[in-house]
Amino acid sequence: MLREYGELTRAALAKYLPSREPRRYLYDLLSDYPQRGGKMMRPSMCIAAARMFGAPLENAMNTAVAIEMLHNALLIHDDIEDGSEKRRGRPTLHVLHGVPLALNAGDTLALLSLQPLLDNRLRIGERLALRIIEEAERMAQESAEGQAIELGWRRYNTTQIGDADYLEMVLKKTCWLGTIFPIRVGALIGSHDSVDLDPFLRYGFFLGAAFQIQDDLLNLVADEGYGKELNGDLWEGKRTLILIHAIAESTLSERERLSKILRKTREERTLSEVGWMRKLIDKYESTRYARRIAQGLAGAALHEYSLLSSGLPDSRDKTFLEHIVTWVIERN
Amino acid sequence: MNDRKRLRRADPARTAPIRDFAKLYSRPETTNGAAAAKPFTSEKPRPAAAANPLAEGVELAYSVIESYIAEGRRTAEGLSTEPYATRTSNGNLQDILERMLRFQAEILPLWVEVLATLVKVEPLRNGHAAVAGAWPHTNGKNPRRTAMPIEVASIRPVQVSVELVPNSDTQSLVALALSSIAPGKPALTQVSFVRDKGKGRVKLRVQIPDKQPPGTYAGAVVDRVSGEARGTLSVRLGD
Repeated sequence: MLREYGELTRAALAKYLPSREPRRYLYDLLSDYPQRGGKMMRPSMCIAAARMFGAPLENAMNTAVAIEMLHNALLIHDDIEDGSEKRRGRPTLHVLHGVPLALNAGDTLALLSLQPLLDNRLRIGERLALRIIEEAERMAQESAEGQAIELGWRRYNTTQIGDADYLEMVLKKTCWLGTIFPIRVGALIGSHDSVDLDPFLRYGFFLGAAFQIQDDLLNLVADEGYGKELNGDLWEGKRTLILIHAIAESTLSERERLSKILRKTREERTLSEVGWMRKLIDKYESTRYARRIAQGLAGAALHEYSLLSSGLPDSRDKTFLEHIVTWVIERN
Repeated sequence: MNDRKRLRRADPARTAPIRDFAKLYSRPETTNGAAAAKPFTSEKPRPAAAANPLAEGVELAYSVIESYIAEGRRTAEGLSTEPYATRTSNGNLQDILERMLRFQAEILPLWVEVLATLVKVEPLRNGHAAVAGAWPHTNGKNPRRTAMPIEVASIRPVQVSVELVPNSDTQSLVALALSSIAPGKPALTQVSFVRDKGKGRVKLRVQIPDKQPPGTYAGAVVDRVSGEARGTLSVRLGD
């Protein structure tokens, strides 16, 4: 279903990308990341949630398109902010075209994502369209706060971070756009805004946090098929749950050395320093710790899902939203 | 001017509520704010590795999300204190009508939607008219509002908007072909003002060909006799 809903979303998204000039400096850049593929988990969740309640697929399509557009826009910005070099197996947009053009393309894509949300008026009515825009506004704010927290930790070399701090950051930075928003607006559309959305917040949080931790794990072990730079998070000094665990478990001298390495910029960090950080993670079995947490969160997501979906008739969409939980922590 | 030296308390060790019982007697945690790195003062910041990271992780995650939801509720309560006039859906005509309309919009294979079944022809604002220079001023008078029904035949969602010069003689209006600024899109030609049999008034009829590309189409409304422009008509066609 990821493939099925993903292809439909991709086709609908293409209609929202202008094909006029200036192509080389703007519109070709906008379509670059969406054309590279991607899991399409976010739009698929939105569509499945709407259909689970009995809504026709078309009612969720505009929102699914907006989600994917905004996701790609934020990826462009994230890559610049993180200094990432690879995205979906190819050089990042700012590496290809420079920061100013990439930044402008990200801004444009984010703004264009409003159009399908406005077009919702024609399909599902003004009241529901406005509710989705309200949710989108909240999601954008939460995402920006989460990104700021993570960037701030790196900018000011914050190393005393607890697991709760990490989960709060992930709730905002990853979960809102990645899982909470898609499932909540899908439920809004499907139920005509007649269900309590808090259970969807819980399910989205547990699922999104498990997804993020698995993503961090893959960053340390993945092959080329993963599409991102191996150990990229260590090069960028990202405060992942794995690194937070390693910091907390390390000795005083190790932590002092870690702090010095993390204080450096990506360019200043050396291969041997990244290798040493990696050894420290292995020494304290921090990946094993993070994997256990991810498994626990996936279990909590399944529990919350069983509560929120128990009254709904069986359907392939309902099953999909259950199976996506195990897919999230088993993917590679 | 007071020259006495200001008393200054030491910064509190704890800057955030301790949510986790396991950390109550361990080193203070930072908050999500940008606390700068402090020198490490102890050999082991954690008492010990979590005995059961899975269970403790889930417990911690629940406490995070529950406090987040509780904070959201408190904020919402602060913003909205008025109780809702909760309605029961049984017997409420408005509610039933809303549900019927939603149901109809979802199941009809041929979606004929008239978003504005009764268009009120708004008087053009003086400022706009002065800038455009195309429409006569109203001299401060409130011109007569004209109601005109619109009939739309389309398999896709359509939004129609008409703006006419106040007090236009609707009996002699002609809509020219509606064009799109996007290149390559055929003009909409099946747009006409027709006399509504039985009621004697004029209605606007818009027919959208099934293969018409989505987009916005606009054109002029002119007087059949004088040939002068009497307004504009635009049709927005969804996917």
